[in-house]
Amino acid sequence: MKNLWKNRPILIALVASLLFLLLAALTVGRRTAGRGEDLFSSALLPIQSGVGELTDEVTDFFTRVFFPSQVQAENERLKKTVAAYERRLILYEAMEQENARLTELLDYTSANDRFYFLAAPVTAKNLNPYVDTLTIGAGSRNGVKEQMAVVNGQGIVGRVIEVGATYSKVRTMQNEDMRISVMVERTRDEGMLGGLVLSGDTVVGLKLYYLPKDADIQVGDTIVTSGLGGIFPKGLDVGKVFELAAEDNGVYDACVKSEVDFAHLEEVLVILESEG
Amino acid sequence: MTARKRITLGIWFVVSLFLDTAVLPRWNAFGLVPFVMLALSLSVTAMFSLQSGLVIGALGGLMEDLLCESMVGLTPALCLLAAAALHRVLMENQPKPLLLFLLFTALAFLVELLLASLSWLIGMRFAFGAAMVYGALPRAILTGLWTMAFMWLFKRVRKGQVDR
Repeated sequence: MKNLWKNRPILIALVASLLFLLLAALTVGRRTAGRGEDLFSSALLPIQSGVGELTDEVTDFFTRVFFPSQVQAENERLKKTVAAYERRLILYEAMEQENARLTELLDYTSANDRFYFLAAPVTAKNLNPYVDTLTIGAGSRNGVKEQMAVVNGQGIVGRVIEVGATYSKVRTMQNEDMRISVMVERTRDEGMLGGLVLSGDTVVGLKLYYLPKDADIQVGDTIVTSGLGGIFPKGLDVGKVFELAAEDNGVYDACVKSEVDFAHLEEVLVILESEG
Repeated sequence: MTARKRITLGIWFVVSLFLDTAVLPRWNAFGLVPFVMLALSLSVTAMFSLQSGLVIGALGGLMEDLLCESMVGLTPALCLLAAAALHRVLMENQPKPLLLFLLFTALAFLVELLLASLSWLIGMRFAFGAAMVYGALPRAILTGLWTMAFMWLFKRVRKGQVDR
């Protein structure tokens, strides 16, 4: 065989070629790779991929060096693509935030199923602390009436003071004139909430008045509506006590912080009526 | 064959394999890429021996088919035939470089022609004439040039020993 390989290489080449051609004919149109072929290809695939990626890097480098106009055109195209994606991202984030807010409202309505709620968007705001009102996109056509309570997922927002056909104005808890009859959830001591605690120009809380002299109020106590006065149904969250007033204060007993983010209100719930 | 030759050929064998299967197919130069493994097989046949050329052509062609083709065996068969034909010509002639280049190009073109014909036979349909003029001929010229480049590289390794 060795002599044949040395003396008749052309003959061997021809025979080998015929065998290879026969192999090629046998493998025409097959659908699956053989085990050996599969093993060989799988073993070389990572190296092939690595070499391919390296080739792409080198090609990109030379393209940038020798064809800057092509790179510039591609750059412009990519910039437009990025801008389109950024617009989508902003839209997506807005939808995500809206979804979170609406989910929170839905959770609130589920937890307070003794009330009939109407969801309404906040269409305008006036955040002057002395005339603090906001406008919502629901009015008499939607069943909204004056003095109805307005809440959101965090607690009480305010009450309706003016009703149009398709809009209503709401006086928020941050309005200096707003007063609500409340009670300490833990001790059931009743009092009155209203008036702003300011730190400079910033509203930091609401004043809690008229608690009984022996009331055992503590920082962290939850304040809820008492139901007296007929505007706000009993048991709605108003806020938490964050500071007790000095004993010789003589004006109010404690400061209550509402959980509601009045600066970023976008949707609210109007309590149309309550069962019983 | 000395160890130095074996190592050199081994390295170029691997390089050619990846050039043909991973590097050159990624270049969008209208599909005009040389057949490097054929060039290696032809240059080794011309510079060292037919046996070496046959081994490289058979192994390299088979590996390329296994990696890239659905029909295994066609590429090594064509490499072997080209190497054998080159050997037959060189047994009786010692062509000058330009003629050698034309010979390599002609062999590469014949390989392309056979590839196209066999592909046609198994059912592939394409504009045969255009494929030959605008595809096969430029590729064959590139393969011829690549073979000449390999020969220039191997001259330093050969040191005047040809076991033809």
